[in-house]
Amino acid sequence: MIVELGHFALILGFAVALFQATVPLWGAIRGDAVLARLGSQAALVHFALVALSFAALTHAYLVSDFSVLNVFQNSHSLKPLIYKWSGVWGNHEGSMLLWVLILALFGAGVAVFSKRLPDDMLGATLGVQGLIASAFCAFLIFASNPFLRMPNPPIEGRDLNPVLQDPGLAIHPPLLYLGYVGFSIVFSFAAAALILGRVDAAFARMIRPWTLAAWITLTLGIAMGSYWAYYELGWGGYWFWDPVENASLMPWLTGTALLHSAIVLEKREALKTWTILLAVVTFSLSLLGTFLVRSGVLTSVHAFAVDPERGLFILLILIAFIGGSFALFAARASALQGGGLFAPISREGALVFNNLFLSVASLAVFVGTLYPLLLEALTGAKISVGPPFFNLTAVPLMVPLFLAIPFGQKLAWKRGDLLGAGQRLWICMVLGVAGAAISAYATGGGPILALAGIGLGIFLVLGALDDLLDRALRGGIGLIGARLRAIPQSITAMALAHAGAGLMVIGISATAFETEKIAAMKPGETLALDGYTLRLEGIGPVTGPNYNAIAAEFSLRDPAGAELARLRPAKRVYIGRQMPTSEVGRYRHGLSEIYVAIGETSDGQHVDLRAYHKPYVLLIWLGPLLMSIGGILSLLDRRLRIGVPARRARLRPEPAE
Amino acid sequence: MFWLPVLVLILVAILLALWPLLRGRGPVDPMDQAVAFYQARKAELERQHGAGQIGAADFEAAMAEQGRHLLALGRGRGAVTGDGAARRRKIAALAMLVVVPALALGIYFRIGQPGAPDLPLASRDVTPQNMDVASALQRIEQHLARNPDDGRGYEVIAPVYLRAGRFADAAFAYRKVVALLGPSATRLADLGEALVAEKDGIITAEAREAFEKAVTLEPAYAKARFYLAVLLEQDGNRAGAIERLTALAGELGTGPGRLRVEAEIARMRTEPGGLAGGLAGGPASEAGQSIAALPEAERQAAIRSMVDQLDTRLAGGGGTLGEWQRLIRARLVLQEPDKAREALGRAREALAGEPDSLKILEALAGDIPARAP
Repeated sequence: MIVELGHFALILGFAVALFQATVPLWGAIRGDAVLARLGSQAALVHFALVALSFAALTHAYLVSDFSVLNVFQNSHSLKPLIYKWSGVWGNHEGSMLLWVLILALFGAGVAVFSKRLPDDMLGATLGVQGLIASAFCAFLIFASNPFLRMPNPPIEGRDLNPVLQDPGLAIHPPLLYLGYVGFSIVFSFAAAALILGRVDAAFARMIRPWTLAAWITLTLGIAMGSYWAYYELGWGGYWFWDPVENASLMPWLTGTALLHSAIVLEKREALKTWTILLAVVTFSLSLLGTFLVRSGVLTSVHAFAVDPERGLFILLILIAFIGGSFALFAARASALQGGGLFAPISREGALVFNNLFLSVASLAVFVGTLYPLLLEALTGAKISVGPPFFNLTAVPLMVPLFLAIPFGQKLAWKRGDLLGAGQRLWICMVLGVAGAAISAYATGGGPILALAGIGLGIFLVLGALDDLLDRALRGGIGLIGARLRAIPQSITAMALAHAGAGLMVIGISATAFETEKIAAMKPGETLALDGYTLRLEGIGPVTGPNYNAIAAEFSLRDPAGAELARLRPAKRVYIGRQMPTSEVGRYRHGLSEIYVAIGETSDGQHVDLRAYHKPYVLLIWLGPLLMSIGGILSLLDRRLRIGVPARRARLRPEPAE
Repeated sequence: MFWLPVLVLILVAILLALWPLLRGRGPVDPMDQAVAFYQARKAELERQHGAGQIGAADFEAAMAEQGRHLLALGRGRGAVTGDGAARRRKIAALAMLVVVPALALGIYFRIGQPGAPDLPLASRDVTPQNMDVASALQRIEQHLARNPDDGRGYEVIAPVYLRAGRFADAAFAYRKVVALLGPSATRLADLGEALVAEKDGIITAEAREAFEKAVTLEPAYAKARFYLAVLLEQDGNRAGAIERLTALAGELGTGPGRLRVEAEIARMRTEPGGLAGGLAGGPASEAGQSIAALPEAERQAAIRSMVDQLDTRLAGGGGTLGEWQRLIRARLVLQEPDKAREALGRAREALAGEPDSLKILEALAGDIPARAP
């Protein structure tokens, strides 16, 4: 009965979403505040119903109710409890339900936290959000229903894809969806602003927390996914320019641009249409990502089901929302009043520079991802656009952007002074070059690009933090403590986020210095790896709760010969699906890692293995983590932001908060 | 029982969604909120100015800018007209009261299964008769994976494997049964049977040991005696095998067991060849016939010389898998494990290019007894 109630709650939730999509919007357009306010109630009811339905499906997973087709196809009675939980969204239907739940969560969030919003803005925003929710509820109910039952339920399920049986599944998809779907609310705000013809600082103030929340979770979600791929897939890579990864990178790039342009809008009331356009584009790219992943157009670990009907359904949703919003934009954007003016060399100018490069990088990824798909659809020719394309397009675009960040941080609003801004930065530059030189000396040379990258990363980290230092020292040595406390949280947030980007650049550059060894080893044999020694102690079978494995045990010794750790990489075969997966053995020292993955162990006598020493590899994920912490700090700073323009008479710039 | 919660769900949803209409509240002028926002910005500027974060001139300019924004807001936005409000609210309430429940129930009736009970695994009857063989097997396997010391479980699953043709698994399970529950004539003979099936009818050293132990425990145990008799034929003594089988058949009452023994006797009587014939080359060859007629000691010598001939011929190069197998088995029968091992070594070299043949050879290698210490 719980299952059927969950099913009914979902359908009732759909009907309520339709109500939410029409009545408040009507109220907003007619200026009827009471009707517009109904949007809040509808959003809350819709969220409660979808949450109920999600709880019902989760319950079915927890008790292994195989009369539910979805549970039978994706669960197994012996699966550890955490994977019964996370398995709810480890499949197409369940993940779409999670998507709808998060969509509803953001709608409810606006209803709860935006009580001070103008009625008409609230009604229109929640109305658009209701439209999106209706579309996805309809998709869920009619094309991907997770509550379908089986007449003769089998006694055992087919198990969850073993690659997904990892704690990563409990974290990565919900975070990524929070990011993807979080931009839906920004989109709804933008559409509402277009409908009502009002884009101003108040609007930017409204969308700031939502943009930040979505951006933070998307950043964490992508970083988490990259880290998961690194240790689960056994290739030791962190980014593959896989279309599905690109699908999440595109909204991240434009979302990052949006975050910055919204600052200009809030502080200076400039970049109005551009900010609206970015909001529309970012959510459109999120939808596109969903389409690519969920339609079966792409095959990857993310594509659970290949079903043309579903693909068509999502494509229609995609066309309706993207087409509709761009039409709205075309019709209404000209009605928006122009905003504040600024000189090219100014904080605003720097942020436009940022937006330009992020958007073009996103475009490059877009072309590289979609061109092969379109070509195949139109001519049937299969081409592969691999890492070389992206390394030559998107990556070079990032370099000037990263170089410009420390300068941008130092420019004043409205009109800035580049030379003044550069005054302090040359020290950071020298230190960056010195860091690169030290790396070259320590590693005995190395790829020049990687060394340049390390220098760039160091410059970026120091340049970002220098802004804090500069502010702290401005009042003299005695006032450091007081000045530090007076630094607004948003400034600290900016410095940390930009330093995070620098750390990531260093981590990525350092991959050029990794050591890879491929070998076949017998028990008792040793392998030297950058001074460390791996000794194969034995090979043996291991029995897990729902898998059998062949594991190899290695002892890892440091150059002095002391044993550091035992590494146990394994090949697992899951009972339910008879599918092999690999478990890698890792040892962390500082920010670097020793990484061992085993291949075949056919005769039990020797084992094929790949071993890596990856210096500073953890920076690749610590960087984004720091970026997110910056985002969280900024989110917690609820003060109004006003950009006080620098006045013409002053020569020495003093950036305002 | 099912419809009550559904009804409650619908009623609560309607009540919550229409709550503001029930309460009634006057409209708010959107301008008020906009003005409040710019007042807050001015207050924030004043705070910053007061804290000494912005200079007086900057403060003046910024305050003036806020004022301009406020003025701009006032343009183009008149007061909101509220006519037709009552009619709109009626329509909204009607939509929620009628359209939403009707739509939800309509869709649910089409695609849902009203009142269908949950079927959590814990509440279901999972006894084997309710399961197909594959599910049952899977269940037992999972149980054994978690409880590798459950001998009874292995005893249940082993015959299933045997019938399913998974002989290696059956042999493994019977080994576990013997190890965990202790040897008995039945268990040992079953293990031996599984081993024989695994090796395609060849009785290996391990199988022989199992049968012999079974007979020690229970001298009359038919299955073990049957295989030991067949082993005699494998060792070259067909007449002895027939004699023992005939005796066994005499002791057994009518039934499938006896039929099986009689079928085996008939096979041995009619099938030409046997070991000697096989070595001589063609089935029922003259050489084979004449060797079989020789007295025991001479027969051994004759066989040995023929085996040596085969050995020499194969040493000259070439040789099929069948020939090599015959040579190695013959060396085993002649109790010459060292020569068998040596022949195996050469066979490995000769057949190095054929992985499938090598696999069969490796299976044979298990039968060569270890070198005496």
